[in-house]
Amino acid sequence: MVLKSRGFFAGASLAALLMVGASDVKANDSVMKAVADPNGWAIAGHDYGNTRFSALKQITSENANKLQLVYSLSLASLRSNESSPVVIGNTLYVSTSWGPKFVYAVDAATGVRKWTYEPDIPEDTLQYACCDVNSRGVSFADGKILVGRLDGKLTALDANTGKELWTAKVVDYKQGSVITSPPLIVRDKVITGFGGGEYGVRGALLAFDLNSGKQVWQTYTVPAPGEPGSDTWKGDTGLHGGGAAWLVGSYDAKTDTVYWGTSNPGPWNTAVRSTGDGNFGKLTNLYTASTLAIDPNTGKIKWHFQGTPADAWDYDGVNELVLADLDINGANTPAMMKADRNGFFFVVNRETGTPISAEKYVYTSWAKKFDLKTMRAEEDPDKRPGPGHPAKDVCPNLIGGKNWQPMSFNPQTGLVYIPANNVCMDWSVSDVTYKRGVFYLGAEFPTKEGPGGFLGELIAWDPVASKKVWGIKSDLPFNGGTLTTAGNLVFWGDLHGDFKAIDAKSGKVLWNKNLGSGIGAGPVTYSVNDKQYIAVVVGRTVALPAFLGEIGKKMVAATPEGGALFVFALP
Amino acid sequence: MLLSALVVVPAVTTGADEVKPLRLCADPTNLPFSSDDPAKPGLYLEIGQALAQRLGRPVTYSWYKSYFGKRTVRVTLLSKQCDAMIGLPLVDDFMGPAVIFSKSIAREGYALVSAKDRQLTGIDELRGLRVAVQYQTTPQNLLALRDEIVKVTVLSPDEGMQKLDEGKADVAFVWAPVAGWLNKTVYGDKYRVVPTEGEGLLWSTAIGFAKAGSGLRDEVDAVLPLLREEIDRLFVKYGVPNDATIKFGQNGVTGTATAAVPVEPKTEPTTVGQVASDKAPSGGDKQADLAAGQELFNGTCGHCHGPNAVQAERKIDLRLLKKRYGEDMEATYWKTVNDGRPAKGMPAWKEVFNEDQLKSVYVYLQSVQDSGS
Repeated sequence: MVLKSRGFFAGASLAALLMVGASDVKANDSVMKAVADPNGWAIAGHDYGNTRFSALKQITSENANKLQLVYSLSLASLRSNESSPVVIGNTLYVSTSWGPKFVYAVDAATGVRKWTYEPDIPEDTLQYACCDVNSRGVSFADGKILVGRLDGKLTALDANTGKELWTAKVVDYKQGSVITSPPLIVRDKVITGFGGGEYGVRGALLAFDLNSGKQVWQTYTVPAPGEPGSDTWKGDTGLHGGGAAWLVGSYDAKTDTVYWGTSNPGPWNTAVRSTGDGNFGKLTNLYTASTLAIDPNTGKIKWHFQGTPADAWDYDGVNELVLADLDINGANTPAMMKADRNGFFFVVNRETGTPISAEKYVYTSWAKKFDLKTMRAEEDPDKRPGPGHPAKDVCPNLIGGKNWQPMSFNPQTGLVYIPANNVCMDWSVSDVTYKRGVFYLGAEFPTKEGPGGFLGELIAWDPVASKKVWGIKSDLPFNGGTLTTAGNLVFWGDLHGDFKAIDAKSGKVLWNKNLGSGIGAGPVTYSVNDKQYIAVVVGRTVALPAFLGEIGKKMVAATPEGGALFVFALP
Repeated sequence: MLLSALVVVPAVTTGADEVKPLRLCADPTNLPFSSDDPAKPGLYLEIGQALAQRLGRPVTYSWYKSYFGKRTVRVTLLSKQCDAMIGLPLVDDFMGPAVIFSKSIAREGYALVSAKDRQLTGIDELRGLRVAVQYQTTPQNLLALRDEIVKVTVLSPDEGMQKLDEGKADVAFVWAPVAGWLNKTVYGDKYRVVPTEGEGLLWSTAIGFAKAGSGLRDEVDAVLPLLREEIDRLFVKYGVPNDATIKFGQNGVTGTATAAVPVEPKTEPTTVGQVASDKAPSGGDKQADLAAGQELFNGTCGHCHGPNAVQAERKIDLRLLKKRYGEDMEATYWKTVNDGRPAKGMPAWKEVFNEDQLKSVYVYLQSVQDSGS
């Protein structure tokens, strides 16, 4: 469990150092410079490996109990606020819900606003969007701020002035597709996906030129008849198969590879696109519920692995790939880690694509285990739903063992801090629902509690030994993302609005402040003029609880809606 | 000249309340059903206008697109944005008990659309053909395991008709009201539109209200019979088909489709579904039927539906059939026991019991119906 390289990497983000020291291939000079600055927070996930680990250690497990509020910024927008701010130099950039309604650039130390960008988002986006009106943050490169928008567009702003430089249309929002995550920038390319996989859209990743906004490439995640992978779909169903890449991507400069997860396949009826039962053979519906390794120059898919073949449970495979070098059986292994929605924690060699382990990190009933040789789960046939075959007590619930809320990896403790859910579901075909006057039979999935009397848990997970080291249980699911630091700390907010500092090794809660509304976003840390700050965005979801019955009502009752940025430091 | 002579005084009699408008929720971009273009209000809004006229009220509209049906109902009807929503599926479990319904105003479902010279009587005749089906609809599910039928997946009934017209599909198996309307207004009536029926292929349509609107619902129910002819006329105006149907059971049973029947105004609800009246009531002793039916019920049905039909779970409480289905109760009974509802765990009984036996169960069920309001 102890990393061989612990001493060597002290003082810098593990993943970032790997990349800077690597071959001729560069990511993007301005981004690499920003990432290499330990005082900043250059990417929403901290670095290209999405580790959310900071080397800053002014705030430690010894003094965290003294943290106090330095400033707060009202975001002026309610409903789900999910942004992890980006900090370059002494400027903090944060996006709000609703489009985003605003992108603010503020003085990172004082909260004084430098500029505000208010995009012109059409009022009817919510009538087309499946879920909430969220934005998980912005991206920085070459003096520009890049923003993905709910109306399916990508905008570049001047980072100093907030002036709009260009706006590109990525996808038609009227097909149900929205952009809710920050794009990934590799050299001169801005790479983004979009959502809406449930509605018969064809998932894709697109790259735009950083300077001009012109589209450079587009890669579909699901095939047309005749294209590679089309023999894993029945007939033409791949064309409307979903596989949306709506969360964030990661990047490894050494192999010049972009990694991105894809959402579940549609429609829910597996008989349409596969065999309708567990004997799906080749009809696995690629590349849905998968991780793709992509060439950033061309968009070509280099290799993939699929977490849930022929998915019948809505287990999106979009969860972020966290890149880190792990000591596995004495060998320093370039790994990628994913806490999949389907309840399995995947560890894969990120250079070769060889799977290393896949163990359950939450209670999981749809499969007994995951066979790494065949890359198939050993399913419990009773738990695979379909027409004529409802299923009961399927775990995890479709919201997954972990949802979009980010996890973090601490190379010093060797642990991954996962905001996990412990919720299950029944599954059956509903009587009727409708869309634009057309009646049809939908699927319904009443939510049930997972076993053990708790609905969520912050899990400290050892990715090498594949076991939980400590956990903090919660009476609600869908709690916030995590931040971890070299000060032996984990920061985590829950759906009650409690924001906590936790001892990274032991799990002891050292400090706890209630911030008024449920927290989903991942916190960040940065330093200005030798003072370390901890920042977190607050404001709970509205749309998600509607799917979760009685549990959803509890989530909504826990706190009112909110929208604010809170920044803390030592006195 | 007195100024007051030039002023138009609103016609409000002293002491009388102002007449509140009937507010209807609707999708502004959804012809043939509804649109915010006053020149083309759409089928549902024309029904709404006729209804409002009968109730002596003006009409206003509250617009919201209906890409997500249940969410649309929650955000509009259930958030008091309007008084009524026309064109909801008349199914008790559709958002009940928060949503309540008027009596049925029509039956709507899926239709097979093809060139007039193509004779289709059942699913087997689709073999070898290219059939356009809409994503996530019953036709897509029905044909899913039929590999000998080539499916052309589309995202809307409009797109399905387009594929047919472009020669990319031989048949479009899509939502009948849209197909009929497009056939009439865009494709010059060149296609035959044949409705189908079976589980998930045909529903009753009604007007929805929030539970608190039960007073208005009852008012509407009282005037609906007076609107029968008007509603039928409007369905014809919008090209919604009224031919005999092709019956698809869960096992793909074929039925017969008769040639297109000229449409006449009816005095009963517009129904294109199975007619129950061809099953003549058994001439035998009603008391004997009752006893036999109860015995049969308790020996078989009672295992799920409860002994003597006493059942706590609403969804399977057969004492609610009359309340739930009204005059459609008998037709619904026969369809359900004959074909079953496999997705819900209800078997098909027509191969297991004969018609007399099932008839006796129906007689028994009639005797246990919940009469409370």
